[in-house]
Amino acid sequence: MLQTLSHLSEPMAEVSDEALVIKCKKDPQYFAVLVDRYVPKLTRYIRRRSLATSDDIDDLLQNIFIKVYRNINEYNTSLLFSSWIYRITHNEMIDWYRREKRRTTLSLDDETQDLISRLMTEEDHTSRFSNEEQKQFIIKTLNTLDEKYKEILLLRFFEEKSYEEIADILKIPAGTVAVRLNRAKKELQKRLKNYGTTE
Amino acid sequence: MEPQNSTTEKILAAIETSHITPRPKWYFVVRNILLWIPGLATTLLGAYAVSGILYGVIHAHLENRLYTSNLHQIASLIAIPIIWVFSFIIFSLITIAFLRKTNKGYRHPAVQLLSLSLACSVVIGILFYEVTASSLAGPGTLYRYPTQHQQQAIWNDPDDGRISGIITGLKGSVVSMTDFHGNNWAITVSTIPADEIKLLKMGNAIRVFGINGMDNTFTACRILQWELLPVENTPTQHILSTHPLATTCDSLLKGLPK
Repeated sequence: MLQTLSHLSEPMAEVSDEALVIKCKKDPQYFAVLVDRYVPKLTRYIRRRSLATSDDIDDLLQNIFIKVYRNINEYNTSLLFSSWIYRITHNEMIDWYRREKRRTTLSLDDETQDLISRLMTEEDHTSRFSNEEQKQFIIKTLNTLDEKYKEILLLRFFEEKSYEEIADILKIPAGTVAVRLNRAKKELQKRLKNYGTTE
Repeated sequence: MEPQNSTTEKILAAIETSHITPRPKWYFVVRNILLWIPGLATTLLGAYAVSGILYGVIHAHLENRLYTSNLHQIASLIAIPIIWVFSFIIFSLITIAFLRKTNKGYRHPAVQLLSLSLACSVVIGILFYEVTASSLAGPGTLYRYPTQHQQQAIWNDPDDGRISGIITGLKGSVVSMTDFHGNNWAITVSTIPADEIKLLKMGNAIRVFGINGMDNTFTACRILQWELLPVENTPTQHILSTHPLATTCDSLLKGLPK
């Protein structure tokens, strides 16, 4: 029974994801720990990049973890487990968008606001975009960007992934990540320059 | 450690009730190997193409194009390497598409992978050519075929003054030859240039340019080595003395290189 975790005597908090996967391959009970660990992260990620309802999110998570469990033997430690599971999530989200005929739509929550501040600090826009209304404008502007730019900004600034992790998630070379991210930031900057003149 | 929330419980229950089990490791190993196969095949096809191009260029005998009037056949001969190059490009694109699905293939830019594959193809192709060009046995025979086939087609047109085959007998100034279609020819060689006499050896493969006669007889004006086949190490048998070119051959060879 996957649900029964009581026999796992050792403390799991200190065990890395990768070590857990290795344990999981021998004893499927450890999969429950991985699920527990990633449900909050993936829920937040899905919520940030879509306007999915709670039911949609539950369905998406279920599909994602079924895929993870079914393909657990595919995972190898040459990449981070988090990159691998985010890749599966990313692909599942694309399928979901296709099915639902939707586009990636970034949404704003408390934590996202802090991350926007981070993105804007990097872009030296702090003074101009400090209040709630202005941050809403940023989200609105982000949502007008191309899918590929929106996606890469989300992974870099909202999920705080490194270039290598983004490369592994999107299955593109790290050089392409750098180029695409740079273009995305320039495009965002260009659109934000209009702030104040159009608002 | 108990599941933190109901979502986790639902997920675990769904896996449990659907009787989902992890796919075996060998499934992914085999899949990954299969995904790399087009890449390897492309590199080997590239090597084959490079060998073929080298072989085609070196053995196409384009210097003798003036002897032949069938431009279509010549064009086909030149087209072979081009077809190879195009097929290589198509296979390369397929390979790149497959590499994106492999475990680590996506980490390298497509241009890098294509360049590496191309470089490997050129190196392997040159080695392949060097090793197999002088031998009829082995994989070299495969890429010999199109060029050889085209050459045989070009040099099997008696009415246009071209035949080719292997010498089966030498008697006076008449050479017996079996062409590549199995027909026997009696070739009079009294009018060929002196320096071509050395080619008249038993078992040697030759190309003959001359005048078609009756009942599988042929008057040779020029004898050329059939370079696509290895020359047997048989002793040279000089059977002819130097003769000036006959009038008919003179007219036939007028304006052509000697």
